[in-house]
Amino acid sequence: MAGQDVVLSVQDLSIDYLTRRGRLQAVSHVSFDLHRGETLALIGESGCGKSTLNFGLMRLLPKTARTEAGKIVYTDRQNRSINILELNPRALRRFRWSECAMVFQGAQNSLNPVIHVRDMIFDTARAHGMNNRNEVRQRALELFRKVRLDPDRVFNAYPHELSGGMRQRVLIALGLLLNPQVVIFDEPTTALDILTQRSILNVLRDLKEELGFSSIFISHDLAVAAEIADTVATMYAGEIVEMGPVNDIFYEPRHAYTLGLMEASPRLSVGREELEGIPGSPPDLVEPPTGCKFHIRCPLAIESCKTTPPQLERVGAGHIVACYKSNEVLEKGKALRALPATHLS
Amino acid sequence: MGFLIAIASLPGLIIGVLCGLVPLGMGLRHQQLKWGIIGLALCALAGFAFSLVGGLVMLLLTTAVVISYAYVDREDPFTSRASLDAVNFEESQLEFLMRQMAALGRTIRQSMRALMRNKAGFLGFIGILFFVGVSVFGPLFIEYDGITHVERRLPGARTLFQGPSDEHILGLDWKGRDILSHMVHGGRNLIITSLEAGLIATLIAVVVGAIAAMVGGLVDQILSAIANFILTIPQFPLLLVLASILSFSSRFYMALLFAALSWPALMRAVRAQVLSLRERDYVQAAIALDLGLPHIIIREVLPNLMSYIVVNMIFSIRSAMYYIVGLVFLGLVPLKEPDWGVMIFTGRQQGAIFNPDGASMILSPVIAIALFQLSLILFTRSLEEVFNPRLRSGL
Amino acid sequence: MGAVPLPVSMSKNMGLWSQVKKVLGGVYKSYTFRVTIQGFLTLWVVTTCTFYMIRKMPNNPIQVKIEEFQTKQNLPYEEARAKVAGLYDYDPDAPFIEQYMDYMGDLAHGNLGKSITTGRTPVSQQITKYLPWTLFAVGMGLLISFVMGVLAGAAMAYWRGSVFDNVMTAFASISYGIPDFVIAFMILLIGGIQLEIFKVGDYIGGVDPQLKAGFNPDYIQSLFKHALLPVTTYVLASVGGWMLTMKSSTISTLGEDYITVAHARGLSQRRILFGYVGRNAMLPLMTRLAISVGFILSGSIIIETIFIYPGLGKYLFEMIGRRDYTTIQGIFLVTSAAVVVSNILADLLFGVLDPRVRVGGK
Repeated sequence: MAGQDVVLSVQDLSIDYLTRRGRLQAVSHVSFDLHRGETLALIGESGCGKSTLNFGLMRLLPKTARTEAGKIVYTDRQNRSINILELNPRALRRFRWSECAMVFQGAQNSLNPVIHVRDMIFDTARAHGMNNRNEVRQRALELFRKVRLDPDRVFNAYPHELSGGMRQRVLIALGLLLNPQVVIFDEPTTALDILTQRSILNVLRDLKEELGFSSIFISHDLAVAAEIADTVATMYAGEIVEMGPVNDIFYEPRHAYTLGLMEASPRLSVGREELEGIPGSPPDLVEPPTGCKFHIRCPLAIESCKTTPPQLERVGAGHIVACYKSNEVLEKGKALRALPATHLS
Repeated sequence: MGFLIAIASLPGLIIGVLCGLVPLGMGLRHQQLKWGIIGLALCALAGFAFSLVGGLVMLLLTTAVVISYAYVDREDPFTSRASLDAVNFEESQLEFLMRQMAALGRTIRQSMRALMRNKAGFLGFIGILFFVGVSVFGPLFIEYDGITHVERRLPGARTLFQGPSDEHILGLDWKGRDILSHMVHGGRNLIITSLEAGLIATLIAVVVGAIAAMVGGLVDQILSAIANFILTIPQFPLLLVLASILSFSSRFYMALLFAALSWPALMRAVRAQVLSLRERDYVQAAIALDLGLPHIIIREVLPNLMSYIVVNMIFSIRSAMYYIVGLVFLGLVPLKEPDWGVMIFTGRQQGAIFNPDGASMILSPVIAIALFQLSLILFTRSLEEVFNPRLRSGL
Repeated sequence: MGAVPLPVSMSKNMGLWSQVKKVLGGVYKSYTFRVTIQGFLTLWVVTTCTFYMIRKMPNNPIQVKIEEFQTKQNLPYEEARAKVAGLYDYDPDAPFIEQYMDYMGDLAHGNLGKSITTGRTPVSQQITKYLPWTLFAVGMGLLISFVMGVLAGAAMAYWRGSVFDNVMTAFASISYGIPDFVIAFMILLIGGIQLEIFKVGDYIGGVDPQLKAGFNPDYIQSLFKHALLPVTTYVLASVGGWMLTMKSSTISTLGEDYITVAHARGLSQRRILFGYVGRNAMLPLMTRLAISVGFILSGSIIIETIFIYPGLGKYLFEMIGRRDYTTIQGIFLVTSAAVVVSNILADLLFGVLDPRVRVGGK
């Protein structure tokens, strides 16, 4: 399945956490391919395993996590395939950031508060063998300009002297410092105001076009995902339940959960009065429900949903879904969209 | 504070048994015989040790536990699904009392479980129980040996000091007295005084700290300035000077003096905590509702600080004991035997340090103090679990 | 004509006054100035309070000496009194206020006065005689316990849950839980007397009295040898506290997002441990260290007494016994000043180490 242009191929990956109550299946049997220049958005509720999956890709999981099965195959610029799960610590350290970088939430404490921004940049560069400080500085300043920051000021600042949006941009610049092939964005627009979000998204789109990296974009904000992604994957209870091209997912969702997510987010185009939440809450992952994990909350569930888990099936070009009622979901989605926009004011 | 009579006494035992009849009766009535009997035993024990105070406190606690097993919560009217007019809000005085007692009993059960959960903390708890038990019940079995025993001198010995032997398992001191009897009788005053000192210091610190933080402004500035000022002067030298001014007629004054010098550190911490709590929404809500300062401090702020306060109270008790023994050791407090500190002081004066036979006179109290303090420190871990609602709620 | 200039001059005056107020306010707002003023104020109050308190102690230097003569040399009261009167330069009948003003006057000139009971030596000279011992022993103990505690605490946090961590945590709890004099007695009694690992006589005191003071190997060796027991005691008693504090501080730092980010950036383990975890976890400890430094001077009266170590603490205790007012006063002043200064330094240091709380500046 892995084609020529696949950068990162995740195959049947499962990650468990060891807890006092037992094993918690945070990610189970996830597979996907990330192509060169592609942006894959992972969407889902909090606790659905999307962050665990991404930390797992860089092997940054806490000690209580166990990667049970699967492969993460990375193809480098020389077209060599590497299974990240088998890298030794030294090679892993080299792989991190220079091949695959991660942009964390700037609102959080992601920058060491007592170190200058410039020192964080130099540290990162030195860890990957770039010892020419002047060169590094030039590169950093250029990146700062690209993310629309005042380069000199930011370079010599402490994190606490920067605003939330500025910190997020610093993190983006820092992520691109070593020109990685894959960049993971972990909710980069969360906790920012709407204008800052917009400008960050613009920056990201420009950078992607210019630098051509592939990216995985985690978000619970569908609007953001719709704007930036080429492919969208919906995660529920540690599984990818639906994945496909962005337009298919948003206009023709096939999984009841994806549809539920759409219903739950505000859209201007469909001016419905009330948003429909999804009833219930995510299942307990230590003792997950039998069958389809979503059946308890699913309005369309039938008997077989409770007993046998549905397998991922192809329903269109690059569009896969694991749902017995995918056709009904499609119909329901269309019907909803057809509703007149009652309060479009 | 003289009400705490920590000596086992026969009247106390009778009081204890009488108190124990209440949980026993409750147990019989609600078919919780096991807990009734345990309650009786605990009450008898507590009454035996601490007389009326112990008996009554234990009566309350054990009865609450028995009730908590028997009492079935009636449905809370506010969470009832019935419509509002159908809900019966009536509750008789007795029902109210029972509900409160059952709640108390559940808290006690949860606390006991939390106490047992932390192994180190439980070890500390056992250690404290041991020392308290020995001090309270020990005198029943071991008589105080207060007179010089010249006749115990061994042939050829130059002093009356003696190492441990079968007859005197901790040996003899410089007057030929049994050290074990001094150990058993000499801990009580020290423990009670330290306890009092720690309690008073904590009380002052919490009250002053909470007031400073909640009232703010000039009051805050003045109280903080006083605290900072006391913190500047090295504590122990100051205590030395003050100790010789106030030649103590009672140990309670010593506790007071210690409290007067040691509240500022905890007060500053409490103040800082309260200041941060004050910004929380629920405290702001209470202020907006104008519930009054005492209510806000006692009901909204302090419960969230309990774990912190209790742990610091233990630390305070511990450092009180350190200072008291230090003062006695330096000979600045009137010496009244039997007392662990006095044993160290006279032992040193009588050359027990350089006499291998006499080491027990200093080592015994020193090790006892060390073990007691260690127990206190370990105990704090359990207390953290007991008083921290977030850690406790898992039950 | 008379009516017009008045308001003008008044407004002028008021303008000047508000100007002055503004300048003074500005000066007061400057961190250094405010801290200095507060420090001096604190020291003045400390001096006044202790001045009052130590004269409130029962007996006075004359009385103590008279009683000493009476008991030791069996002199009758009158004779002992006459003898003491010639010895001491102190008039117990002088009014309190007068004594206070005299003392403060001297103090204003930087003069700590003369010791009453030790042949009129200046107090400052007495302090400089005993201070180095305390500084040496307690300072060394503090340094060793801090360094060991920080290293061990960080290691405990890093390998938390391991056998190493459990053993060290148990040790730290014991060290933290046991008072220092207990450790001192245990060392003396168990190590020295019972097991006879060392001869107690060789280790107590400040230095071997037969050796000539100076910069020669024997003397220095003797210094270290005699400091060994107090320093060991101090280290054993305080290392646990540093270990536990460092452990919890490191654990909370390890949980910070920026540590995960540092791992993601592929930084080397060493760089993360020292540059990110270690440095940030040390921050709260540095303030405590600076404050502890302030309390070095008051030393440990009990430990110095047990080991007969000639430090400032033991000396202070002796002087309290003799009611040597000026000396007690001087030692209190110096030790309090050390606390005040170290508190200020702690503030400044924290500002340097943690850019978030940098004071002064803008």
